[in-house]
Amino acid sequence: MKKRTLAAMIITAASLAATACGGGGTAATTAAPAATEAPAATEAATTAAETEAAAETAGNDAAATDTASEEGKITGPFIITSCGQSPGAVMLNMVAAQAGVTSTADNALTADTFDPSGIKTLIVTAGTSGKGMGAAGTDVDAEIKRCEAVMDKAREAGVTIVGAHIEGMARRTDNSDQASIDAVMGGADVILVIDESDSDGWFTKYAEENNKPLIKVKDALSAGSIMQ
Amino acid sequence: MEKKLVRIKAAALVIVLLATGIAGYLFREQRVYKEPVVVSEQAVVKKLSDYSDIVKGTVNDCNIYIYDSGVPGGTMMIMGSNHPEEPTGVMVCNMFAENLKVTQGKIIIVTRVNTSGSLTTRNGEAYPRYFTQKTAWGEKKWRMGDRIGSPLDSWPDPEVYIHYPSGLNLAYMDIRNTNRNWPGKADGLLTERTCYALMEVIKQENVDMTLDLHEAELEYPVENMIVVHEKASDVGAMVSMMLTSQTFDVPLSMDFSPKALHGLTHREVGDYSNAASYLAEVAEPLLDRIRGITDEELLMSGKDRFVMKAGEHGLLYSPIDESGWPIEKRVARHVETARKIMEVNGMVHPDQVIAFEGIPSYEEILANGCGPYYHDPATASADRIFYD
Repeated sequence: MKKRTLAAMIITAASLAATACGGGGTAATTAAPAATEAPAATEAATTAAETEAAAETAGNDAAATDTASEEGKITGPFIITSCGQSPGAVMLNMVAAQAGVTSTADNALTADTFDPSGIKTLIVTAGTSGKGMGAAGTDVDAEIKRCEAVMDKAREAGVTIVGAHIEGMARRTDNSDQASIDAVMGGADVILVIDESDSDGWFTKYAEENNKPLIKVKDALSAGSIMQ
Repeated sequence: MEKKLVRIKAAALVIVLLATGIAGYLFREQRVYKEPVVVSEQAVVKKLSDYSDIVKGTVNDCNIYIYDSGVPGGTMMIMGSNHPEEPTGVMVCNMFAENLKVTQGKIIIVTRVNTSGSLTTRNGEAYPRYFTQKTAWGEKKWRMGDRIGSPLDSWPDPEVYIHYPSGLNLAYMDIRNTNRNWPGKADGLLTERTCYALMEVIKQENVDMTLDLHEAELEYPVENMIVVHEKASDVGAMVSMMLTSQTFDVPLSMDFSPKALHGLTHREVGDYSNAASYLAEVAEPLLDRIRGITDEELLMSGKDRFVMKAGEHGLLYSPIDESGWPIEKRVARHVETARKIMEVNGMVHPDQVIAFEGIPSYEEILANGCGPYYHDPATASADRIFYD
C-alpha cells in the first residue's frame, strides 16, 4: 500500500476520533497587516465554507470561523526539509499526503540535489534536534548553510518558500533553535506556525515587523487545512 | 578522664552498631520484597532464562508476560523499569499484565527490565524505598529503585565502560545501566547479559515493535517525547501529532534516535532485530536536581514548589504548575502512547494489527486514578499470582 494512501487512512481515522470525542480546535489563520501581496503559492480563502471544509479535513470540527482574518493557503507540490534535523519535515509530509498534495520530505536536501522543476513550494521547518543532527553527523551552522543555499536556489527558480515552526516550544529552547528560526524565517516568503510555537507571540511580532504573511494553525495535524 | 573517654567511645560504638543494624535491616527488607502481579486470564508467564540461560540464577531473570490471541497479527513488547527510579514504567506494565485481553496479535510485557536496580535506591539521594497506590482493597506496593543495577549484583565496574559491539566509551557506571547495554553481550557482565537475553525474546517471539517506558527530570530536554528508530519515523510522527492534537494537554513531541549514541533501546533494538523501537518519556519532578523534600508524596503527586520556581525562570523543558505531574497523568500518557503506536502501526502495516481489550483509556485513568486497575492478590487464585 502506498505511503500516501496509508497516511490518508491514518489521518482520516484521526479526524473521526477527534470528532467522536469532541476534540479538535481551530485552524485559525492570520496574516500580517502589511502582507497585501501574498506570494503566488498562497491565496486568501474567500468564504467561511471553504475554511470550514478545509478544517474538517484536518480533523477540526470546530472550524475556523474567524472570517475577519485573512486566510492563507500553501500550494503543492511541496518539497520539505528541516533546518536542524527535527521530525517537522516528516510530520508535514504525512499531513500533506493526507491533504492530497504531492510532497517529498528530504532532510538531506542540498542546493545541488534540489530540482525545482515541478515544485511550487519549498517548506523549511525550523527548530533543531540534537539527536537528529547527531544522527545526520551535522550541526546547526552546517544546517543553516545548507538550507540558505536551498532557499536561494528556490528563490531564483520562483518557488515560494514557507518557513515553518510546527513542533511547539520543544523546538524553541536554546540558541541553536533560535539560530535555525532566524535563518529560516529570514529567507521565507510565508511563515507557518502552530499556536503553541507562537504562544509568546514571537512569530506574530516577527511577521509584522518583517511584512511577511503569517499562517497560524492549531497544531501540526491541522496544517492539512491550509494545504492545496 | 580515661573512664569518661571509654564511656564516650562505647556510646559511639553502640550508636554506630544501632545505625548499621537498622540500615542493614531496611536495606535487606527492600532487597527481598517481592511485588505480586495478578495476571489476567490470558497470560502465559515465562522467565527471561527460557530465552537465554545466561541470566539463569541471577536477580535479573525476570518474568516475561505473554498475551497471545492466537489470531495472526503484530507483536509488541512493552518494557518497564529499564530505569527503576522511574516508577511509571512498572505501573503501566502491571496495569497491562493484570487486565490485558488481546484479541488479535500478541503483546509481551516485561515489568522489570532491570530487577537488580529495583532492589536498592540511589546512594545519597534519600529516595523513598517504596511507593504505593491506593486501591479499593488496600495498597499496592512497589520497590522504588535506582537508575542502574546494584553493585551487589555486578561488581567491580570497569574503569571505562566500552560498549559492545560499537566500541563507544561510556561512563563506568553505565555498565550497570540497562539502557546503555543493548544489544547485549552473551559473555559480558550481568547487565550486558540481561540485554542480550531480552534481545533473544525479541527475536524468538518475532516482535514487530518495542516500547521502552521512561520518565525524566523537567530540566532535561528529552521530555514528554517519543524517541524513535528511523524504521518507525512515519508512525512516530503520526502518533506524536495525533496525541498532541486530540488527547494530551501537554504535547508529545518526537525525536529521531541518534545513530552514533549506542546502547539504548531506541537505537540497538531497531538495528539488531526486525523490530521498530520506540522510547517514551514523561515528566517526573522527583528526578530534578532542584527538587525539595524527596519523598513518596513528591514521587506520586509530582508537585514541587522548587521545580515550579525553576519553571517560572524558564529553566525547564516541560510545563509545571500547582497541579504538578500526578502519577495517574504520567501513567495515562504512557498507556495511551502504547495504544496509539499499535493503532497507527496497524494502519501502516496491515499484517501487524494488534487489537486488545481491558486497558483503560487516557480519560478513564485521569478520572478514576490507577487504583481500580490493580487486583487484590489476597483474593486471587494462586495460579494467577506471579512475583517480580
